[in-house]
Amino acid sequence: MASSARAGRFGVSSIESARELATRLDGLVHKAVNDITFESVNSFFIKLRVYLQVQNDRLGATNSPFGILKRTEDASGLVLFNLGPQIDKGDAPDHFHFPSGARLSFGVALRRVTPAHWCHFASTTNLPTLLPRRSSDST
Amino acid sequence: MVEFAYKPSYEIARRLEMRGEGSYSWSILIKPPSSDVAALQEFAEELEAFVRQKPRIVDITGLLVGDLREQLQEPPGDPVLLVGFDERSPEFWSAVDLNRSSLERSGAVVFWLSAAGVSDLCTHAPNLRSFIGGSIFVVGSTGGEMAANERAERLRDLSAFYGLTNDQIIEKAMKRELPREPEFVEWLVLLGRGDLV
Repeated sequence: MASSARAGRFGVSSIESARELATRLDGLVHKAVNDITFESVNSFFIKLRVYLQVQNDRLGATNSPFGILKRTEDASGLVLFNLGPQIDKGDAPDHFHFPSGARLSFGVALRRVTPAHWCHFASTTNLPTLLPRRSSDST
Repeated sequence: MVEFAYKPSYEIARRLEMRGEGSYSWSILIKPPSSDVAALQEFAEELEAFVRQKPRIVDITGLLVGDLREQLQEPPGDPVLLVGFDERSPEFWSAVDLNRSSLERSGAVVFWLSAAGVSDLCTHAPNLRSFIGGSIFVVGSTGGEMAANERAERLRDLSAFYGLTNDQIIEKAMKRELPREPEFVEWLVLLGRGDLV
């Protein structure tokens, strides 16, 4: 991608500047993530689960956030929230399934302090493969 | 005593949300014998997240029925969680029963009771019991805890994907040689070594 880089805007004119911008953006994201706090880990869990339920209902999907969103923690106070597998090996029942065929999995780690701090986030979204329509499919 | 349905607070809150605003709904939640305050707080949070309105927790300890009516009607539309029924007399319940019509309101009303409190209500306020109908639930846990077998499976998947053992991961983390990838954070937490993150 190439475009003129103007002051105050993200523009990419070469691979080097793209790398530089990516590094800067990465730094900004890390800073933004470190600044995210929550009232408590329990509150985060409840709100996240309800959010997923509301989105599920809005989409007309059939997921059960109560069953597929899991949490665990260790003695150091890191709390892990997982939905679906961390390594995608194909469709699994604990993915969040979209009516389009896409599936979502993610993990969030919060540190149990007051307020709770966001530590890490990872997500994977798999979009449905659009296969060419076969002649036998047509009616 | 009749067996009531055991439901996680998530499901009860969702039921109340599905009844919609202005549902005039009344429910009884049988609180867990231990961690009463924590369970109430969790239920209030679940309900708030679903209905997007902070429920009012009203402690009726020492209140007369007239006070209770005032608390319920001002305002009449928000969700209210009524607590503090444990020490109430049969006369109090009878008075609530007689005045039940004046307690009606558009917002949801939830009685947060002990098993003994439900028994008192059923015995001394039969009309109120009839009004509440089947909306009596035993509050369960928040749920969502990862089971031991789920943890073991996730560890196996990580080990197979990265071709590393749990011991190797801990060793690398101690030497600060692990990349800052979220999978490794999860790996360490699952091993109980979040201190190395």
